[in-house]
Amino acid sequence: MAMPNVHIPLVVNGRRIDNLPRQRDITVERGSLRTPCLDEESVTDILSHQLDAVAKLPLHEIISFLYNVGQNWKAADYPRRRLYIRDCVKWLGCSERVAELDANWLAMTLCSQAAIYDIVRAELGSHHILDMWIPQEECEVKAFPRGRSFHSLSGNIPLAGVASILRALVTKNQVIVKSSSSDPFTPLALALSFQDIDASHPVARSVSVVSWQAGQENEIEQRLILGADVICAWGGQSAMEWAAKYSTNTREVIFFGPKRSISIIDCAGTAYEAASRAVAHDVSFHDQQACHSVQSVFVLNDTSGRFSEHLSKALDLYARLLPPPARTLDEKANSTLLRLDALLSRNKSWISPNGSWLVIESEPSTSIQNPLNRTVFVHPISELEDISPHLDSEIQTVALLPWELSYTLRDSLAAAGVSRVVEAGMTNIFRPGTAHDSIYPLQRLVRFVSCEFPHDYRFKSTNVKVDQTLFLEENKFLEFVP
Amino acid sequence: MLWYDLPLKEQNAIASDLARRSFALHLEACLPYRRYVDEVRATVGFDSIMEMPLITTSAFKSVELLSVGRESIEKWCLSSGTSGNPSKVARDRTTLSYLLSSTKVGAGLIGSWPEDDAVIVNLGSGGIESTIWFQYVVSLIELLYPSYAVEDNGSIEWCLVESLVSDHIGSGKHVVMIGPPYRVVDWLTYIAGTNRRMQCGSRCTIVTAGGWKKFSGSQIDRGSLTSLAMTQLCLHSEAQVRDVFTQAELNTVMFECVGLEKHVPPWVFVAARDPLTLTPCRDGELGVMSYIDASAESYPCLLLTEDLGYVRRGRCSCGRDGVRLHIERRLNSRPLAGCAVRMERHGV
Repeated sequence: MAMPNVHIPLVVNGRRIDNLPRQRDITVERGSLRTPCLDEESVTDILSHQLDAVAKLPLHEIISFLYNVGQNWKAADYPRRRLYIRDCVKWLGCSERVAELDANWLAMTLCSQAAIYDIVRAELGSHHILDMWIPQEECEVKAFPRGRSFHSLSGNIPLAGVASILRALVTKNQVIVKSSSSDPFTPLALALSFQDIDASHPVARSVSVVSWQAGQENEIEQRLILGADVICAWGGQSAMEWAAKYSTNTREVIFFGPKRSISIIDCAGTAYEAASRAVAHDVSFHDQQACHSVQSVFVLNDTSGRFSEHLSKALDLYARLLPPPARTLDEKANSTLLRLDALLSRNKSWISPNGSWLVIESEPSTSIQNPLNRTVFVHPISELEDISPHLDSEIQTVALLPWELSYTLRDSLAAAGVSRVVEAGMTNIFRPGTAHDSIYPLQRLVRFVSCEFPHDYRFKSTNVKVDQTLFLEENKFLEFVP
Repeated sequence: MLWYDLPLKEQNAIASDLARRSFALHLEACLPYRRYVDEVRATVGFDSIMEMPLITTSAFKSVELLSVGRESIEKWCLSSGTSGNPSKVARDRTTLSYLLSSTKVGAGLIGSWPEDDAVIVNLGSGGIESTIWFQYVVSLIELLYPSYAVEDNGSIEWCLVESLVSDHIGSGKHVVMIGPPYRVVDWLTYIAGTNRRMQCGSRCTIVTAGGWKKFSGSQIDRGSLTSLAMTQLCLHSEAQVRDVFTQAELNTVMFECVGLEKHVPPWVFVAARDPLTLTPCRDGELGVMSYIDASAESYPCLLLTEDLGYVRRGRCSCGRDGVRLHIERRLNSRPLAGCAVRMERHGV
């Protein structure tokens, strides 16, 4: 007897939708799920949702609502949290510890009210600017939501989707999320947890979660994309090319495309154990699937040649702290092939017995594709300048130890295209004020509208009312040139 | 008696013996391989054939693996993969002659006709001079019978191919059409578009050679190709559509028998292996395909490939005893940068 498919709903304007005329199957890591296919009526509902409801909410009310949602997520016995963890373990192959950690970070993100205010202030200039007109030089400026935001998620890390959704909400946009089959649960769980607090709240009702096969939207689904004022596109090159098709002069597209990250360790300034644990964390968090996941480590002053060995032990530790999902046949094979190549090239390698990580010590090379799954290339170097040829704008984050290296390197790293410098061990924590892929995303989710002061406003270098007709009549323009 | 008529026990004994000899030959003659074996020996010992250190096929892209002097090399063969960086495999005259003779004998699994009674239609440009492995192998097959290579500057005039096939079928000859699956599909699609059906009956054999992926990366379905061939060419049997397997780093072509199984000759020691431990898989169990091909003397052909498949030993439905391989698919690899792996895994 065939096992029935497990059903997951859509969310339309905060309402859970389980049954629609057509259904489709989503293949996930460990099976398949059934979900409704979006229909005309649902799309019309989403597109006719009143944007004012959330656009006119004061920021503090949005942040308070999110905080209340977060308090639920903080509770270990919150049913939706437990269901989320169970689904991630059962269907996505996550270990329970990793799924719990993702739920913990979700709680942390929602409850960090101060941090959200700080992020708004850092990226938009003031956290008042979303609620009121703020004097800026010779104008008053207010940030208005773009309106309808569409988020095409990649699903490689749950918190990326959460960040995308929350950024759009705090900037008072309607949020339409197209989830990925790599993680259909996180956006859904978040949206449904809004309902648990208050299903009629404008924030809850401004969120929709839908899904379809990536890049294969039909006419109905395409209406949704075409109705967006801003698209946040996450994923690989094909996702970026897909999103670029929808970019127009009136529809903003924000690209969060493929990136990788590296570490630079000076063993003269840091203990092997601390450095290797920091790097192991940055490799293992999110199982090396994130843009901020470290793939290569440049090691200076490793005079005893022991860094790689220490790293291997630290990766073993992290295999216990953050157990990786069971490696697929392909992943194991790719690790083995890489290890054999390393041996043929006379590079040292260390591999865990069950294939959960691999360390290869080699000369830096851009031609070897990192198969991820906690594969780390360690490159011993004799001078910091040796790193330069291997820096480019595909590198998002450079994680350093000791921290003092940042003062020496950050300008050259930035000039090479790197967008983020952090201390090793901290790559997953995006502190308020950080730029994401070299932009402040909140700025792209709003429209800055300026209300300029009138003609009789006296400004710094001129003490007259601006009467342009008079100035033209009297040909007095040049008198006012500083 | 040809190799595929030998009892299985004898084939196994030959394979083991030749594998050991091949290992010993290349250990002695190929310095990079010897160093590699020393590196492996430093971590694990090995006594059995299954423990002999294997080279990845990607190693041929970056390391020159020679077991003879450069002056002995008659042909550098390049793979035709899509990675942009081909493998370079060095073949001397002995290695090439083994390849030629094994191809001639192995082709007997497809069929055997008097030389004047068959023609080969190559859906490629032909060229025994070609360094691209696939083209070179097809050109060796072309040597068996009078042949026509119908591609000209990357394109094919299908109406001319139709006439060619029609004429030869009409004159009583057997037409063996050989090409990559996508080309065969193009040919059959052309025929379908004419609303005519070719009455080939039992006088045509389609041999697909090359990968089963289209240029777009999507997989061509073998069953659909066979079904289309049966319909458009009015073939008598699905056994008239066969496939062959080879790769640039291997020195042997594996031909399909009438039972549609690819028989492995006894000079090739084949195993599907556990992807982590490299221990042999059971019969029929999916693993990473490996070969020790003793017919390669100019380079160490002890390969761990990027293909997943399985091996079966024993009686085949064609009536022969032997070792057969089945390639399921290529390993999934990942794009260069992060943040894009899992989203691609399930087509989303």
